[in-house]
Amino acid sequence: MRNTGALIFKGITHLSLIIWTIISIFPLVWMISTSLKQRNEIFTNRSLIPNNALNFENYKDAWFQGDFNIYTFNSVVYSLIVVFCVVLFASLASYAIARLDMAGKKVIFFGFMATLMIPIPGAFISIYIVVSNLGLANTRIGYILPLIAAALPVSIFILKAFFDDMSRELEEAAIIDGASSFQIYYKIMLPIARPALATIVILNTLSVWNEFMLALVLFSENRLMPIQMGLSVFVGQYTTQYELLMAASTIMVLPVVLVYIVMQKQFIQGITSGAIKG
Amino acid sequence: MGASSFPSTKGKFKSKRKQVRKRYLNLTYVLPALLLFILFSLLPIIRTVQYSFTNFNGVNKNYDYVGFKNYLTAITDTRWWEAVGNGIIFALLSLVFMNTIALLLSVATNSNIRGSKFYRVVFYIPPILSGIVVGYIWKWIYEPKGLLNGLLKDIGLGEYTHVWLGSIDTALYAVAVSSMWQGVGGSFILFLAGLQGIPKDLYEAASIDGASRFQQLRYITIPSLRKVYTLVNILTILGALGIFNHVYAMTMGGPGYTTEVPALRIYREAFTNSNFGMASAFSIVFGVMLFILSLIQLKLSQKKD
Amino acid sequence: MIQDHRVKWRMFILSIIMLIALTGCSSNSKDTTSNDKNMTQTNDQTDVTNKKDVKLVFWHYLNDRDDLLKEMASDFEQKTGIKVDVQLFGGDGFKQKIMASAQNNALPDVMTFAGGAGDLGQLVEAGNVMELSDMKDMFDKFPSTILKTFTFDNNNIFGVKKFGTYAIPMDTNNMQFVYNTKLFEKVGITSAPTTWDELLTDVDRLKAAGIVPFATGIGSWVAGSMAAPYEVAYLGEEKLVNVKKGDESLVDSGYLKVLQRFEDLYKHGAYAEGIATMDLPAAEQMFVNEEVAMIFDGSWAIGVFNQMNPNFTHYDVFQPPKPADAAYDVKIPGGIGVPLVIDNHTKNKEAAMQFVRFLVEKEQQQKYASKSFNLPANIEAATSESGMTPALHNFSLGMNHIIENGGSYPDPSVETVLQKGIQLIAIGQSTPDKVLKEMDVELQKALKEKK
Repeated sequence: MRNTGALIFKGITHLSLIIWTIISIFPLVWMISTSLKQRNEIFTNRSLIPNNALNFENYKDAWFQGDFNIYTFNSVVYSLIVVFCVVLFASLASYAIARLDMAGKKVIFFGFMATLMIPIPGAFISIYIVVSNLGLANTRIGYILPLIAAALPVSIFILKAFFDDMSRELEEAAIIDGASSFQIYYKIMLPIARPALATIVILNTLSVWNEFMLALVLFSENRLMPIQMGLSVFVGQYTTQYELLMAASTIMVLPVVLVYIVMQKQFIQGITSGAIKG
Repeated sequence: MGASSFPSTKGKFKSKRKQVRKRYLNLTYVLPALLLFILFSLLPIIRTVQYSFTNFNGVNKNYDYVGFKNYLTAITDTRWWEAVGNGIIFALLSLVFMNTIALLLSVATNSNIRGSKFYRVVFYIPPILSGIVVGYIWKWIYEPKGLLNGLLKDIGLGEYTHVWLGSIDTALYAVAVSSMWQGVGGSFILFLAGLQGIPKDLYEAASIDGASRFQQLRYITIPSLRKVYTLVNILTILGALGIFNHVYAMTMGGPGYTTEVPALRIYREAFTNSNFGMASAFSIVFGVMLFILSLIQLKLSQKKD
Repeated sequence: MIQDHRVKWRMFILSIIMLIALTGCSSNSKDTTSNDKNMTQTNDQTDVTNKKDVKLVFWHYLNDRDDLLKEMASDFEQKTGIKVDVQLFGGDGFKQKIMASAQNNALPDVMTFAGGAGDLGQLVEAGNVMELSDMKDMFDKFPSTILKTFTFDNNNIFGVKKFGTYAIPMDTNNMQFVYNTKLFEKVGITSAPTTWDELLTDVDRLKAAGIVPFATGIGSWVAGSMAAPYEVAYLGEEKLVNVKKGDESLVDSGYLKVLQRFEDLYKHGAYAEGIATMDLPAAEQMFVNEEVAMIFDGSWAIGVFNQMNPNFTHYDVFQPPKPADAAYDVKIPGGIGVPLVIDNHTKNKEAAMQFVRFLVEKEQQQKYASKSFNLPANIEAATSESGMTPALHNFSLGMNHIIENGGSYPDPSVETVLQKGIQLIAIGQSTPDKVLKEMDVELQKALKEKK
């Protein structure tokens, strides 16, 4: 009796997962299928299978027309630096806010929260003014710093929630052993927070990868532009080259999927180290 | 002996001064974040507050201060509040449907079910796609001769075909579905990260005691996730009320004002109508609303603890 | 305790080092990639000194014409030795980029401006764009009405006080109806409609034959443009200006009839499904796929159609048909398509002007027109029919009928109300009466705020 119940439960679970898988990847499949079609085919052939044999010309065209060799390199650099700094700065800050006795921590935390809430119209314009007053207009660093700043509030918000939730026992044991607050951060907190850190890495890689407005306003030279610039080439005032847009998008999606798969491993490792938590 | 940095430590008389010093020394931890925050987040906000009291047009620096005029216009503008209302509908739908789906998916894939690794990757694909592409794809889906209507015809439900985006009865929900579709992934990985933090032995002990899966979900999983749940809810509310890309790409707020949302209004005031001052006032009003809403959420979840 | 301090200092130093490292990687990005194309070309003209050092920066948003513009820039370099760095910034963000750069006085030497006269007026007042009196000798090369678009005199409605002409047109455009000649023939219509009633009869005939009569970008700014010819037809330009300024009543002006024409089309079932949120590219795609018989579109559409399907050429153009009860002639919206403006702070004023002159020379304009399928701004290039398709020629004839002064509301929000109102009328969810009242409320509000 119980077995059949469990079996039915399992069946339903599998079915739901498969249904959601289809819903999740359908647009991706469509994107890839469109990227393999000829231009005149896009609006006449609405099936998922391209008329001609696989047509990878679009990828070649998209790659060169969109200058993706430059932009991909730029975005990889931006993502690596921004994500590294965000993880470092946000984990330090949220650790102190959640776990340490620190002056003005409420004010600081709510300050971060407030930036999360206020949708500044053309924030990128204000940021651009600050950046150019610092003499950093049209430089990589002038783009990287505001991106880190923009990512910090959400990251701190998420990490603080996770740090809040951890039990104090391990920490207190470490204190008795004479560990400093930084050692506790480094040796205890960071390893336990791995799943949360992996989440931060994923979310921020994604947002850096998809950022465009700030770059558009900050850079006056195309060679510093991030990968989204490659997409914008195909979306015009008057016409959009769908087949190239979709090919370019497919090119762009792959690295992020890769990061995500790698970070999944962190999740698994997080489970084993998380076991000491309770 | 870094013990004095913890509030729980019993301080001797001598270490009291040290403790105060420590309180300030600990600020080093937030220093890098704080510095960047002040430069690139706080300064723009202060600027926005300043502009909200002016008739700044976005270009010309010779603007006049107009007092609270923009705020008065903002809070008496019925279309603005309708837009806020639409945002609230998005938020409620997302809280109920999007987060429930995300929670169920994360619970299911957190177990050792076959293919869980594959599912975890697949479920995060929608958020990865860039806004432009998602907009186009969903427009194609909703077109009068688009995929959705085609599908309905194919399965014999031809009578239910509809102009999804171009009718006032469905436009809002059509946009909501597309934004929730993309938003599930974000909530999903946050829940998943939360679930990873729940010690396995709790479940082992429970199954030894003969607790059913449902009971485990009810008495272990959900209580342990409460903090994460609050977090996800706040982020969901912020995301849904601040929705812009999907609306901009699919309906531009139409038909009429059916899918008008706050961010679109702010954008239009700033960049189409060149009322930068007005747009700033809307932003501040909106920001204060969101801030209060989030505080209430936080307070509510703290009460439960 | 000591150890703890040390760790903290280490951390602090680490973050400083990181910041420095970051700055370091920015410094190498500053050295401009001056991949000197060795300029061995003959410098035949010598009105600019040290041409070899002059490098102009040119921004534009025309991603369908990027190659063409780069080609023209390199021709210019061949001719003058002045290098032009052509930078394309596509997508919707171009206007924001201009706004930000203007605030920082960091506009490029030359750019294609994106926006209307009111937007340019703001840049003019902020001192960002150059007055072009020094190029006066060029002005008679363009239709006088065209230059007026971006000329501010003491009558200008935008409150611009720095009078003068601030943009040179690279091309011109106007908006009219385009129809599929084959679909029209199929239902036995041999000529384009010339009156509103004829249009409605044609709509009925198309509809009866199962052909969707009409589509356009009602979900976007196009709604307002489609109303413009009828604003002029019913009110006349003079009254229209006064009504928009608030000097005459909007409600009693006869504006209702303008909105009623959109209702006519709804009642006759002219609109394609999904019209209320349709944008122009979607409508154009339907037109090229021959799913719809008529579209209200701009002269640039010829290039768009060609890009979507080069084999689709059986279409022609007609001006918005005049309603029987309209007192004035129908005129069409149009003017400068792509305005070229020069930065007021440019260090290369002479070179910038030289480049702009080059772009609007007859020879370049003909090349531009034939390759991009757009209407040239230079009259000499426009009148020589070489390289113009019949439809494009008809569009070019339309340049004689464009609205000279359609007025402007004190706040663009009134236009938004009109646009949204038309969307709802087009799906039968609102009435001309109701929309007119909403427009009036918005107008009164805007007038009050301006005082």
